[in-house]
Amino acid sequence: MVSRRCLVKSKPRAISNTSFISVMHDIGYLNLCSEVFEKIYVSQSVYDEVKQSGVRSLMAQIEELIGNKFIITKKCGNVALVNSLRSFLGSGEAEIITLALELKDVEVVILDDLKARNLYARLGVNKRLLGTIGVLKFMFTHGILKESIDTVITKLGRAGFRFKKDLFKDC
Amino acid sequence: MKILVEKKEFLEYPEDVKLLLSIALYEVTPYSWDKIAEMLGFNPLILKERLKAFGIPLHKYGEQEMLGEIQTARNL
Repeated sequence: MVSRRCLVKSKPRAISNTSFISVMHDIGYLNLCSEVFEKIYVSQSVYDEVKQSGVRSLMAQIEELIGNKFIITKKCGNVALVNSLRSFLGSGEAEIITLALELKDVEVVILDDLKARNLYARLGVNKRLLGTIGVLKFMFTHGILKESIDTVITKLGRAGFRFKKDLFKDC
Repeated sequence: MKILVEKKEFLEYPEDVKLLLSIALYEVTPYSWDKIAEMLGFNPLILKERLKAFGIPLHKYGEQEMLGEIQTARNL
């Protein structure tokens, strides 16, 4: 029998804000992200936010993933755009959107905050926008997650997400 | 209607007041949670941890957002 995971195409490169990495760490799935993405870029502000949060287990895992070259920190070139986006967004979100424009090899932009997502969409960046919900749906569909769908939904709820559970289950 | 605010005095408010203020600011301003955290002097991760502890929903995805997510995940 062919595993559903065998059907996963070549893995895309993503760029992510702090929220996704923190949530995936909290619910115990951060290590599984390497089964979805080839690598994840983060900005310097995202790295600093994690470091300054004082959450040692998260920082340790980030350092391990940086050591494995799965997470890569990048600095933004377009400081003017970052400053402009910071009128409405946090530093990490502003840098992620700016880096999405600068890094040609990035295919997926991971943002959870609806306001950041709306602003990203209005900018017309030609890269796919995904959030924690979408990544988990992908993991579940491709057999990367071994837990039940109800467990995944419960974890998302605890992580502060509210959504129609039926859509996550049925679509 | 969304309003724009940026007050330096926010930084001096007690933490419990700032938590309540963050919820109100998210409702009435165009700012993201991370921007609000920075305005109130919180690390964004810490603000969201505190709000989650009170059961505050951080990301309310409507039907359209959910369908968009699932469609993008399907085409990944």
